[in-house]
Amino acid sequence: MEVNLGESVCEENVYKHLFSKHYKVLRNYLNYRFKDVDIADEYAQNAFLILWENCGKIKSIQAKKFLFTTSYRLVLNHYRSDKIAKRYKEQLISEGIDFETPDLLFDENELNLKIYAAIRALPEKQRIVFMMNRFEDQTYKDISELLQISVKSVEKRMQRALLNLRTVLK
Amino acid sequence: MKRSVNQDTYLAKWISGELNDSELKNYVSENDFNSYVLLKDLISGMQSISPDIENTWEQINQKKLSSTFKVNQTDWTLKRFYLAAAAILILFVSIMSYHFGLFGSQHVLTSTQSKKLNIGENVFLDLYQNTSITQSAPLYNINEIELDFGEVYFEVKKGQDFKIKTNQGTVEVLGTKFNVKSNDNFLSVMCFEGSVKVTYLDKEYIVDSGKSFNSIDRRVDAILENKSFNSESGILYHEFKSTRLVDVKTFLEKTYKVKITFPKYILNRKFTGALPINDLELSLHLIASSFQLHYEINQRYVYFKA
Repeated sequence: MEVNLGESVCEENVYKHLFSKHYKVLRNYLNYRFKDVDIADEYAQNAFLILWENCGKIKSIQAKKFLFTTSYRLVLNHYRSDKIAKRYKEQLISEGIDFETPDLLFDENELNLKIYAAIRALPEKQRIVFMMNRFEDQTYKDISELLQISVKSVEKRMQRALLNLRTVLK
Repeated sequence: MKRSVNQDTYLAKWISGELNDSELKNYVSENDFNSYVLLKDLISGMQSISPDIENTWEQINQKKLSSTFKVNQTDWTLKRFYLAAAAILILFVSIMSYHFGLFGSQHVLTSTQSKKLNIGENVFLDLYQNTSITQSAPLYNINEIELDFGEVYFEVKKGQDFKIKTNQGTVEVLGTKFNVKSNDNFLSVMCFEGSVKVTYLDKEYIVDSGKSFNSIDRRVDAILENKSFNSESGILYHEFKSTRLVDVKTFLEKTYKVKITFPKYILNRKFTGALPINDLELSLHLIASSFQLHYEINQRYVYFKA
C-alpha cells in the first residue's frame, strides 16, 4: 500500500500501514537496546497507542521518529519508576532465572553461537547500530535519524563492532 | 584506484556495500580479510525473530477501543459542546433512574477499565477490568445484583442485606468487606471483614474474615485461610489481594523457577485469590480461569494466550 507521507495518522489505513512497516523494527530496536523482549513488546505497543492518541497532530512522515522517541522514553520511565520490580528481577536473575529471550534465529553450530554471544556482548551503542543495520535493514542514515547522531558516528560504531566481532574468529 | 576512506569507517563502508572486497584488501591483511568475509557470511545466515504481528495488531485495536485511549483529533470547541451535552444527558438519565426507579441497568467493563459504584448509602462496589454486573432492580431499592462474569470487591455496611448471584452460586452478605470473582467454571470468594454465606450446589458455606472459598469445575477446594496456609488436600497456598498480574507472574516465576509470558494488555490487571505454592499446574489453571486465558507449558516456559 502506498501512503502519502503528509497524510494524517488518524486514517485507519495509514495507521495500519505504519504499524505493518515499523512495529517489528521498533520492537526489535527496544529488545536490542534493553535486552528484554517483554518490555520491548509492551512499550512498542504503547508507543503505537500514544501515536493513535495524538494522530491529529502527527503526519505519517513524522511517525517513525515519534514512535522511536516515545517508546525509548517510556522504557526509561519504566525503569526509573519501577526500581522495586527491577531489584526483584535482579534477584531472580541471581537465582538462575533466565530473562533473556533469544533475539536471532540461526543454525546453532559452535561458530554461530560464538558470534551470537559476541554480538550480545557488544557495548550497547555498537550493538544497537550493528543489529539494526544487519538484522532490521536500517541504513546508516536511517539509524542516524533514529538515534539523532551523525551518519559518521553510526559508521564509527559499526566499525568498532566489526573489529570486536573479528576477535572471536582469531 | 584506491578511494580515500576514513580509517575509522572502512569496515562499516565495506559491510554496507560502499567498498568492495578488493578495496577492503587495501586496509587489512589477507588473514583479516578472510576473517571479515567469514564473519559477513555467518551474520548473513542469522535473522531477527519476528513478533506475532497479527496478534499484536488485534491487541492494539482492543486497547484503542477502550476508554483509556481517546483520539486527540477533535476540535476543542466542538469537543466541549459534545462533552457538555453528554454530561447533561447522563445527569438526566441518572436522576430519572434514581428517583423514579425506571430502569435496571448493566455495567459491562472492557479489559482496560475499572469502575467504582455506590448502591444507596450502604453498599460500595469496586468493579475490576473485564467484568459485567446486572442490576435488575432500581438503584435506590437494590439489595441484589448479578455478577455475570469477572471480579468485584464489595463493602457492605452491617445490617444491610445484600446478595450477589453468579452462574456458579450465590453469595449472601452478613455485613462485610469481601471480593467475588466468577466465570463459567470458577468461583472465588475472599472475605476481609465480617462474614459472607456462599450457597454453592445447594450447600451453604460460611466464609469468615481472613478466609476464602474457591471452587473450580464444580469442586470446592476448601474454606481457606488467607496468607500462606495448608488446605485440607495438603496443598500450600499463598494469598493475593488486588495484586497486579505482573507481580503474581514474578511470584510464580520465583516460586516455580519458570519463565511466564502473558499477553501484554493483561499485565496490569489485578488478581485476588489464593494460589498453591507447591502445585504449578493448579496455579496456572487458577490464573487461566480467572482471566479467561489458555496456557501452554514448554519445559521451563509457560505461555498464556487469550
